[in-house]
Amino acid sequence: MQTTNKPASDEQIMNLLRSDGTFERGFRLLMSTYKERLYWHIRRMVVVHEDADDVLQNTFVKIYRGVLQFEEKSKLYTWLYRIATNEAISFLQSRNRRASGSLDDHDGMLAARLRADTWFDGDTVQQQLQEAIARLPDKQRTVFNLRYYDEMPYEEMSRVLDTSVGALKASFHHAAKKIETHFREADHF
Amino acid sequence: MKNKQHLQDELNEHAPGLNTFRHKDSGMRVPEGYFESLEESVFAQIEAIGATRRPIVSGKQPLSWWQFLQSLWQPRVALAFAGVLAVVFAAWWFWGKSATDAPYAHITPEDAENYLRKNLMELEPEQLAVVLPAEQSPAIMLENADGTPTEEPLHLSPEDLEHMLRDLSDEELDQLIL
Repeated sequence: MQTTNKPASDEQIMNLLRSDGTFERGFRLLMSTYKERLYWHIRRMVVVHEDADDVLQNTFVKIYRGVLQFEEKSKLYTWLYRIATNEAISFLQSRNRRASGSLDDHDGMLAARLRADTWFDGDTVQQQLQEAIARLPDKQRTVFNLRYYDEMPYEEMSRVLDTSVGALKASFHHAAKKIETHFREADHF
Repeated sequence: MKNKQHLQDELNEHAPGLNTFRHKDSGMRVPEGYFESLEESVFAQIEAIGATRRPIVSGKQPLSWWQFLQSLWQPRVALAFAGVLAVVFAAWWFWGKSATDAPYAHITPEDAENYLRKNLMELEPEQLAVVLPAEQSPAIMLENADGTPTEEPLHLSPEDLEHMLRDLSDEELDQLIL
């Protein structure tokens, strides 16, 4: 399901984007190359499909507006991940602010939304794992997902999240231990 | 591959249980045809909100005058500019007022010299010593016994100068000062 294909190189995409006549073709190529990776990155952060769809579309609109200002000091996908991550975190923060007026349990809110998501059909273990991940703080969840699912190297992650490698390693280990504890308590191991 | 192994080692060390279902499907699904229709949805949104792309960044090109003037209209720049103007105006007002308030602010150096010339005989040696600043007063050339000037000028303290002025005649004083 979570397949990734890369039909074009970043250089090809950027070359098309730089010319007015081929900009749209370049942008379509960028979307077709990165849409699935960015979608799953965002989906793991915001959990629910409808929210992921909103955040992804906003991400692509921002990329459309700013892609010509990308200075190519980093890899294109690092820059794209950075925009997607910021967009997802902003979305989560604004939802948390809206919920702060109510008595909702912030930690459990995402887990509850996961259970209500019609586009989730995991078994018990998948449900437990996703709920444990959903209960992590936003930044820690982002680090865990990038490492655990995307297998992103810490150095790359450091550029995406603008955080030191040491802090990311500590964050990942802390998150992994929390999830492990959650599973032990649920007697899944 | 190396990174995968590294991740596996990390998990084995800190959370070995998570390694057991690392490659298991997450259970998250997307609607049928979602990715295929995504591009059109994004373009529709771009059109709906009238999003425009920002121009290519070119750090080497200097700003034209028009771009510079336009940049001044940004609120932050305008605010900073207004702040600087306010400080400059306040300083101008304060110092301008102080200068006009000072009783002798309008007296030029030429006026002062003329005054000294005309009233030299009315001044006490102490007053002349004060008029001549310490760093200017020492430039007095003395004569050797044979009438030739000394190689180095004699540097006098204000006290020395005061004593010397007391001993000078009005004519000598006139020559020395002017």
